[in-house]
Amino acid sequence: MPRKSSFGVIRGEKNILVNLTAAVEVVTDWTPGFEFTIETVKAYTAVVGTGTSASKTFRVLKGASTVVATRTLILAETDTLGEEVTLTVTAANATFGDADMLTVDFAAGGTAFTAGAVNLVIVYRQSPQRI
Amino acid sequence: MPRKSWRGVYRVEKNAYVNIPAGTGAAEFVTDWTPGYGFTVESVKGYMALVGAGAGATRVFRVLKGASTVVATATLALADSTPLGKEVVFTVTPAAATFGDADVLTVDTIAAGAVEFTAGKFNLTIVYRQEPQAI
Repeated sequence: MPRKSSFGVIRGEKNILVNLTAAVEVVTDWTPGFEFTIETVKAYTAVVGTGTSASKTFRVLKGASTVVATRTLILAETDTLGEEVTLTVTAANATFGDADMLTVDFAAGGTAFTAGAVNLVIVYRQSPQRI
Repeated sequence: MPRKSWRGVYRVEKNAYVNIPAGTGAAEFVTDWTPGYGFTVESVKGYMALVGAGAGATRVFRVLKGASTVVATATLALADSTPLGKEVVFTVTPAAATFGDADVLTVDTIAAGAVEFTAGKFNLTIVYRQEPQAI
C-alpha cells in the first residue's frame, strides 16, 4: 500500500453511475485539463442486473480507442447490491496528459442487460501542479 | 494548461448523479455540502446518463456557494441531452469559485424559464484545485 510522503502524489476519485442498459458511451470525451495516472477502476452494483445471459464489455478509454481499463461484466457479477467487480487496468496506457480525453463505454457486441446499474470508481494519482 | 510543481496544487473531483425532476419547480440535488476545507472550482461538466425527453424541454442547472452565489451554470435544452454520454459544459464564474472552510456547496435547478423534462439524468463532474493543507 502507498506510504506517506511530504511532497508526494495525491489520489483522487472519479465516481460515475452507469446504467448497464446504456447503448454505447456513458461519458464522452471528458477533458480534465490536468495530468493524472489511473491506478484502479472498480464497479459496485447499484441496481441488480437482469437479462438472460447478459454480458457486456465495459471500458475506460483514452482518446478514441486506447483501452485503459476493461472488463466483461456478466449477469452473475451484478446479482448482489454492492458487489465489486475489478476492471483490468493497462498501466502503459493509464497516464493522461493535459489534452487527453476520457471516455467510458460499452464495446459493441455482447448480450444486453435489461436492467442494472453500477457505481464506477476510478482512482487516479497526480503530482503537485501549478495553478 | 497546468504544469507539475514540487509544492503545487492538487486537482480532484466531486461527482454527483443528477436525476432531472419532472415538473418545472426548483429542486436541489446536493444541499449545503460543507467540505470543511478551501478549494477553487475550475470546471463543471455534465455527461448524459439517460437521454432527456419532453417537448421543448429546457432547465437551468447551477452550482452555488452559500444560498445564492452562482459558481457555475448551464442551460440544458432537449437537444443538449442526447445522445448518451454527451457533454454539457457549465459556465464557471472564477470570481465566485473559491470556497472557504465554512462555505457550503449546493447543486440545484431553478423554476425560472423551465420547460419540463419528462426524463433525463446526468453525471456531474466538478473539478477543483486545492493547496496542500494541514491535517
